[in-house]
Amino acid sequence: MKYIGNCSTIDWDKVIADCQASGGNTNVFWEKLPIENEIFEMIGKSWNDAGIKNLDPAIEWKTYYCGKELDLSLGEEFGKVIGATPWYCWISHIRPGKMIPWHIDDRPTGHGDSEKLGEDVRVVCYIEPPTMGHVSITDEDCVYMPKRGDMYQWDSYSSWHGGINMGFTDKWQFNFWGYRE
Amino acid sequence: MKYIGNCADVIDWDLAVSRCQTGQTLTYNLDCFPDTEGFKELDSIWQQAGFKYNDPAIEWTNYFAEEFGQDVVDQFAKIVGTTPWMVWISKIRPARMAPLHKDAHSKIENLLQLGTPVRYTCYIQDPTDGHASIVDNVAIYKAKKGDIYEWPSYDAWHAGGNAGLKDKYMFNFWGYK
Repeated sequence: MKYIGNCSTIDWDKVIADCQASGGNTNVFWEKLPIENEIFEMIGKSWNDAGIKNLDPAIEWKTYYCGKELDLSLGEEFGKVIGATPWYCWISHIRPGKMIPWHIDDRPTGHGDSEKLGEDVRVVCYIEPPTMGHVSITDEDCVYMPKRGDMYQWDSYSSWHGGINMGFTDKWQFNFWGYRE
Repeated sequence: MKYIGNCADVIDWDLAVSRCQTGQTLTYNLDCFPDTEGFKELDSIWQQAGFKYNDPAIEWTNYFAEEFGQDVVDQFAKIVGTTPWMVWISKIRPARMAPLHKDAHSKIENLLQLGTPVRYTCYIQDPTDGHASIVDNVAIYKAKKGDIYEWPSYDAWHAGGNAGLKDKYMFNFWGYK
């Protein structure tokens, strides 16, 4: 993962407010596989093998998608900042006392195949002021209390990662998945 | 946090961890904190943050020298040149955490009278995916086994979380000079 700069041109307070107004999508460690695929199956098994049961209440995160809860223009604006075309962008939100354990993300269906369009780019932007207790881990790196707007590019769209909220306020980050031709 | 050095060549941490079998598992409830002003304040903060009593996410287990060995305490005290006051190994299971808190020990005044209080953490496992430790505005991630850190203050805000797939162990040393 590498630091690629700070994005201060987007009103992140407004983006968060839009998320809160929309309600978003609550995600948990599923009772049954949400879709039949090897990635979900592998992740679920690894969590079960670690002693984590399905529907463990500690595991919860909310998502807000560009083109659904959020306007597509957010991804486009961010894409201009980093010089990449947006493909799949969303805000993830973890409440205090919740986490997403170690996992990789599967390619979402219904969005075409970004690999054929160009080189995959995955960037996370930390969109809140530095907040004690909010931890983001990707591969060998841990991001803690970054400046609002700080951007990090992942080594691969499928890097292993996890997030924990041990603090007292909600944890928010922007996830950009796109490509460069 | 100040990096002090590494003690993996002096203390067999794998052996110490293997001795941690029973311990005392703590969860968040009305009785989990000692009856001190500090903990009453923490309880109020946690409630305001939305943490509920018996929240399954909040859990850790403490092991003391009776299990892992007084020899470990003595060796570590010698390494850091500090008299031990309270020493324990803490464990956090996968998908569990100890949220931000300060340790307001009921007998803290005793420690303060004995000398200058100091707190160390020693990371006693091989670097492991998903294991995060926080003290104030510093996060320690994938420290080497045996790495020792001195806290900025004996009573700093801190937290530990396990987003990984294996148990997370840490050695905690509270002492005085």
